[in-house]
Amino acid sequence: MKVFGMLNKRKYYLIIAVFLALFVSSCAGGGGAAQSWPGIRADVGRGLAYLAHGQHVYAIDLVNGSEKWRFPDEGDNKISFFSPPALTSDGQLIVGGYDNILYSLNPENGQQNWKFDGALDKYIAGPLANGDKIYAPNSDSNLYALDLDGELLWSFNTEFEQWGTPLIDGDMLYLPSMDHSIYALDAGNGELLWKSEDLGGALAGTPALSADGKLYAGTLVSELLVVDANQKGKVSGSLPAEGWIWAGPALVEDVLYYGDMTGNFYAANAAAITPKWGPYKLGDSSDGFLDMLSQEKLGIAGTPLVAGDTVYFGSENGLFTALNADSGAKRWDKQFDGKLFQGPVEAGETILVAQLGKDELLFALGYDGSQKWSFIPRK
Amino acid sequence: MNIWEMLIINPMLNTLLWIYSILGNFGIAIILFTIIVRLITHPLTVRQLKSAAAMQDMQKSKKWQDLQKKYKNDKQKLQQEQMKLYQEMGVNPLGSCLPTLIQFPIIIGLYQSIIRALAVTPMQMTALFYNIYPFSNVSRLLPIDSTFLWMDLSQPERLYVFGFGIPVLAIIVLITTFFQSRLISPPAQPGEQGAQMTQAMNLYMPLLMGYLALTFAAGLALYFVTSNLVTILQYAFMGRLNWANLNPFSKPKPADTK
Repeated sequence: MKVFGMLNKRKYYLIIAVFLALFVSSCAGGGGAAQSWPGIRADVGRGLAYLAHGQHVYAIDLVNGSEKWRFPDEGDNKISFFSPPALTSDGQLIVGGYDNILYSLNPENGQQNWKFDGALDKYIAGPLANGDKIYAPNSDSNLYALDLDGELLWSFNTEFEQWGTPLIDGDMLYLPSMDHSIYALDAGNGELLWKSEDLGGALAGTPALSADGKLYAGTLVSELLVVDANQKGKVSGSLPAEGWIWAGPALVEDVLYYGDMTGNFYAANAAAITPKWGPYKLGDSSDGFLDMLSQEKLGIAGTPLVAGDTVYFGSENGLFTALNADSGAKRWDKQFDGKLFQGPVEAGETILVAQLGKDELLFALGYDGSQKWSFIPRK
Repeated sequence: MNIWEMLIINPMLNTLLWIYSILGNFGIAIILFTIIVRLITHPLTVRQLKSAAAMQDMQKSKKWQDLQKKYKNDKQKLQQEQMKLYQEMGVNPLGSCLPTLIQFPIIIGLYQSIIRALAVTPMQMTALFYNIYPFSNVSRLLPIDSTFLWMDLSQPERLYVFGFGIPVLAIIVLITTFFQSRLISPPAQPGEQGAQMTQAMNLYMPLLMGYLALTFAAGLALYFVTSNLVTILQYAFMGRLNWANLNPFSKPKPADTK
């Protein structure tokens, strides 16, 4: 420290200021940056799309992209929404927030019906509404089951956080967890029926379920696994990928479609668990450390959409791609300015695409990629 | 990916995760990794001390004192003659601050590595994918178990007693930073130029570090505590601790020139 007596005071304070600026800037990652990507839910019956993004949930007219309402009216930087909302059978819109609260809203006008504040951490996964129950997985490692009035019926604890929406098949509820497992619960009372064997990696997405009781789940150790619900969660097959498989696959007519974080997109025969085609590569693999410097981030983090004979998906570099579902040949692609993490959602004859990092939050495309409208929240 | 990530973040992050894969406890991994980084940069610390000692010796020399008297009314000339004397005696005036400056990116990189490893949101987790070496097989460890003792390393630390959250770790950071600053500061000489500055640093740095520990993730505070204690041990090992500085009422006395 004595040397600073030899420098003049200005240089001394400049050095300290630079250090503090670097340090604080490296620390302050959360101030204005998004913590996750938007969640979408289509409500064709009401002609609306619901977009959970940042400080608001927006209701957007499916015809022209105009904003119908937003919740809350005034933004609060303590509250943010990123998970896809769910619609209940009695017409409620359920959305979880990063303020640890689950909200029920009136989808007609965005007014709050009730809220559930029993969770201890944020809602990253979207809730599931089925019949007279709402299932809300939380980052506090609990699945909360509520009735349609928001009263807690039961909760189920996993060993680690829950980032994927569960899926329901009759009386069975399948819950993916970041603790490397899938849990099968009684959907009525939350009783554990079985827990899968350790799947080797975390599950951030919702598995797909086939008619014969096979769950297809992507993991963060770059595998697509087949978990047999008839065998109480035993792994009966796997397919490797080059990168993490973040979202659950789409399963259509015995074909699985899924992407990974390196920008590869795959199609596989579900029953045989063999590749059908691909991978379709969005970019070139790096050949070494120097290539890594210039490499784009190409991650495919959303569940793809299969509509007709075309499969659609977005990637982190903003490229939205449409492939022939049968052959994997490219039909078209469209470059967006922002990042596309959330998988596309079909709403009638429209494909909804949410982007991150730009003013236009939501786009409506035709099946041929033509843009019908875009949504920018009013200031 | 940028150069900073490739050269600093990724090696640190992957090493930190590798240590975690062996130990199974992220708090201990942070502590061990901090110790390893400080040991690697130990030569810089030694060089810093030697430079500082050389500076002190030079300032006590007759030549230096004569220059002060001769050019006391001509600052510009004094600086010129001082620079000549530096060269003559082979002393680098920045020699004892350059090692500190070099350590800044290491400190920042280490903090960023800790925070990235503790990804608590989807954006953070997907970003982590690009930092992890594909050959390292650490993805199976994710998500990191951020629990350490009573703390969640990804959150600001508080120990709740009768409903009150006590920032224990921030207090420990403040205390250890204070002790470190006082113990490693060379004894000040009466009328010395840097004395006031050093005194200010010894007062404000603990408060600043305590505030950072209060506000940011507990993993950072754990790093601060470990770093402070290791620094104290390093200086003790080199016989450079100035215990007299702990006495707030002690008067400045001639420095130990060993």
